[in-house]
Amino acid sequence: MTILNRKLLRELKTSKLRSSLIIIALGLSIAIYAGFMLGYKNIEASFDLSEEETNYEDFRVSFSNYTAIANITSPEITTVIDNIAEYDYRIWQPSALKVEGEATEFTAYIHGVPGDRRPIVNDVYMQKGEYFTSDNATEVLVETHFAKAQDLDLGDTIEIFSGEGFVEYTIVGIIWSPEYTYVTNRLTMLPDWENLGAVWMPIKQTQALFGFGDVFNELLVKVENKELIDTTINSIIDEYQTENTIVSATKKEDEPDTYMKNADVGFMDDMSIIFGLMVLIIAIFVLYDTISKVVESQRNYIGVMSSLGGNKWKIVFHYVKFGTLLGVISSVVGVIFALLLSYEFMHAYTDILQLPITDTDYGGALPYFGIAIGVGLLITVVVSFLSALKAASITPREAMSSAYVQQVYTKKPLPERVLTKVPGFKSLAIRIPIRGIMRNKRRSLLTFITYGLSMLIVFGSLGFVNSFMHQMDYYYNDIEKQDISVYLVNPINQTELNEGLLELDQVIKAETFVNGYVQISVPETNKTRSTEVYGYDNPTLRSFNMKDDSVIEPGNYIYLGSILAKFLDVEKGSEVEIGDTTFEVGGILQELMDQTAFLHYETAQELLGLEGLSTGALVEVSDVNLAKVEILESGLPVAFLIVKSEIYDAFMTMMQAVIGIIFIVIFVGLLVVALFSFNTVVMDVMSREMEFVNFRTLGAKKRTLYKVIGAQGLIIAFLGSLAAIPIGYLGVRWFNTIVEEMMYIQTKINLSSFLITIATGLVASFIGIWAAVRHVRKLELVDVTRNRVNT
Amino acid sequence: MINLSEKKEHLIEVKNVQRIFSMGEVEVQALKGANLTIDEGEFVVILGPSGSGKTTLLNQIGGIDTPTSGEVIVDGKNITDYSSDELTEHRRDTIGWIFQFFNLIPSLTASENVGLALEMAEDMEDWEIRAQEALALVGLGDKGDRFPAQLSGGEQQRVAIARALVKKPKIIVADEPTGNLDWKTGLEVAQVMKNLNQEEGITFAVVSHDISISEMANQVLYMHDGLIYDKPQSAESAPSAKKVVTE
Repeated sequence: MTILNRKLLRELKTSKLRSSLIIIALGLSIAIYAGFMLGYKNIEASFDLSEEETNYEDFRVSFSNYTAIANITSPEITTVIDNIAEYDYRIWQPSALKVEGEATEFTAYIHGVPGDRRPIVNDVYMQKGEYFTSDNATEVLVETHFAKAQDLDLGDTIEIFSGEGFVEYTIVGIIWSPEYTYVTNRLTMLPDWENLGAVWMPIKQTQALFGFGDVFNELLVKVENKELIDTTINSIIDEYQTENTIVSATKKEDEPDTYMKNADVGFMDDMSIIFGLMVLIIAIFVLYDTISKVVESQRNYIGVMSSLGGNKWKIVFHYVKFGTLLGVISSVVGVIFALLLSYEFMHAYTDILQLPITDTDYGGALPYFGIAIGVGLLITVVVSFLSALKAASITPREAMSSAYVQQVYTKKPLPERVLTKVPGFKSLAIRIPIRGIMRNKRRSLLTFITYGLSMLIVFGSLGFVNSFMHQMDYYYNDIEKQDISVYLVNPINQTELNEGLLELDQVIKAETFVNGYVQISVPETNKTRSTEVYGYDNPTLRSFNMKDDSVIEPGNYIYLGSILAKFLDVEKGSEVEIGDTTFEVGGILQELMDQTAFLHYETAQELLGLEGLSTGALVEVSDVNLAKVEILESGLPVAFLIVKSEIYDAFMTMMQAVIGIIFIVIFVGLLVVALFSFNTVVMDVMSREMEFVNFRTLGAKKRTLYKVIGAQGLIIAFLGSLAAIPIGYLGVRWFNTIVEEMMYIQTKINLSSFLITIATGLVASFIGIWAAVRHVRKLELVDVTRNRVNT
Repeated sequence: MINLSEKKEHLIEVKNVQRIFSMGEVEVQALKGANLTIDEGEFVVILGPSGSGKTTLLNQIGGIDTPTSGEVIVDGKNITDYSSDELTEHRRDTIGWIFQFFNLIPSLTASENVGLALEMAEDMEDWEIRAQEALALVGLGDKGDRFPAQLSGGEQQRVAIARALVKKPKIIVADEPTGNLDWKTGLEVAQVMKNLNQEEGITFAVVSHDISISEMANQVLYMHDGLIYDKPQSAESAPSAKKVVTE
């Protein structure tokens, strides 16, 4: 091994802290990117395998009114429509359920499936128990999230609301279904892991429970050729659409749960890049800063090497090797952490989602590991080279002095001239740091930006939580003002519904609406989507936050949620089609889960073939719990109720998990800030060791050292925090646009987040200041003045 | 056949060298027309107060700096207009440097610090043996495995001397080699240099404040205000001694 390599290894060993900082920062960046990517690939593979196991649909067809099973079984749909590989029919009926021995009513999604055989499409994964014993058994299968949340087990009973009363069923199985990975409520589009009970029962039992004949309302299809899926959907709609039955189709990727899954997984994909890059940028600076300072602190050794006849590129290469070696170690550390991170991440994720089958896709993630390591190493080499380049310009004359003064000051910097006019800012403790900062403006600017960037993680996470909470409060206070939304099994006359509700003691106000699923398309494009439309007549219990202050008007105008409008790629004034009717987009809404379309009441009634009828109502009540019982027992054909406060609570419960993750991110952010601050302040002091030795030989007290070092640290922290705020604000806005496909969030950041960010910077800086002062106080003055010992 | 009429070549010739440094708006004339000759095998000591231009003169000879005007000829080569790379080669092949502050690399042992000179010269064959031999010549044959922090100041400077001589240079230039040592240790280090001069035939050019070192020299020169004299100059009086002029 060459002597320079020995020097390299020994210096790496003795400068454990400095080397560790680089390894942590660079390794973390590789680990975050590759780990999240591997986690993402593994989760995707697990999703795919679980879906494959249950033969998950390619698309689902909904019939707005129930259709006789005979309609599709005779003649067989496969003989009428091309490209259908497999299909099955079922009933999907929202209702309410009660758990044995408890009064609480939960929203229930009832699935009527064949009782004498397993579903051909959208089968269930039996986690516990057995499938139904017969078509006539009063048995149910309960979705695993709900069973877990409500502590349900085999043999327990649940009661399902039939429209007239509650009927008891025995649980014979706990199942997992790909339709309920996130347990997304189809109406609110929000996951509800604890309060949404998805239940499967024999189709004949379902028909009996709700008083239906031999009918179904959902067709689940798997196609032979996925490229022809749109044609197949259109053929089905053409074949089965009648005057009384509106047919709409939802592709798998547009299903609420799949949509949530894709958005979540996509979010993970984005996060791996964003956080990976963010930490990488910090790692770049730490590396640049460290090698620059190592070169600076070894100027006279470089001078000696040069005076010994050393070629300047050989010397530069020595310091490049320093960085590259750290890069290689970081890659190894990064890969190990990436594997651990992806393992933990996937298991935490699959546990939350209760995925029954897990799979790995190391092959698929290999390119990402390659990218992470390749980019990490390339950047390490380039940054090491750029930072070591300074060594090429160090002349042998630097070997002449024990404390070669590289800092040439010719005038006082402007901030110093200004600041020292302020009383209390005249001391040298202020002047020295200002001169230090102003001496190398480019590097100082880079320091501020990187400092700001490291705090961006903290500020961005806080800002996102603020924006989200603000949007939630806004939506559930200013947009949805009702207490309960009532949904009916069958449409009834709107006056009858209104009066029926107002007769109840607990109901203060009731406003009816009409809703239904339709297939909405954009002419001359292939953009099409199954969407829920609502018709309202100037309600007071529901506001509409419309862009351009548009209002819902009668006629052929449709008002689209921003996410739906974005998907369809339309704006105000564009045209869309529902069946044979063309609508002009009258406005775009910006609320929360913006995937719904709105029409004027009469327009919606006409479109859905429900003239004079309502399908539900918004209700203001005095006591929610009493009102729920009253409404369900009112004799109205109520299918289920959505209680606003329960949805809000469910959402907040879900968000607690997300906020928990965000707080972990904030902690990582704090760690990065602390590490960066530590590196910046300590390394700077180490490179100016002689300056501080001089202070000490002049009798500087601990307090004076704190003042000089502290002032510089605090200036960097304060300016870094200021840099973090505008970058952070833009970051949060950008972050909000990333989740735009899932929900609309307006950027609102609380004052406390700004203050916490600045405080974080200052606290982190204090850690660095403390360490730097400790370092200076531990220096042996004799050793330093006799022979520079810094390495 | 030797041409007896040929003029004798000096190993080092400094001819009317001026060196001006620009320090922002101020110009400092460190050398004002210095002249000097040193022959092979000589041990020359240049004495003078701080700021007299001693180190600047040594830098010109040692290939660390080039003059603003004048000529520097070392080992028959005019290095006055050498490029940075040529100066590097000059330092590598002809010169050994000793500095006041030793500047040993703390993470390398004594032997490795000496070997570093060979690595810089890309001449690593048997470097450990050669480094050990160099250390033995300065009386540190048994301390090759020690790190600088485990050596006294005098021992560190002897390692620095070994580092300078390991390449077997024709000339060793030393900038205040005893300046960082106590009197007794300084004398020991000076003796080591003198021994090397006598036994190995290496030419030494040493600048120093230390008059005691001049006792070992076969030529003592004095620098004052950027000029070289053969006698000491007082700070107050005008130069009275003869300026040293190249033959």
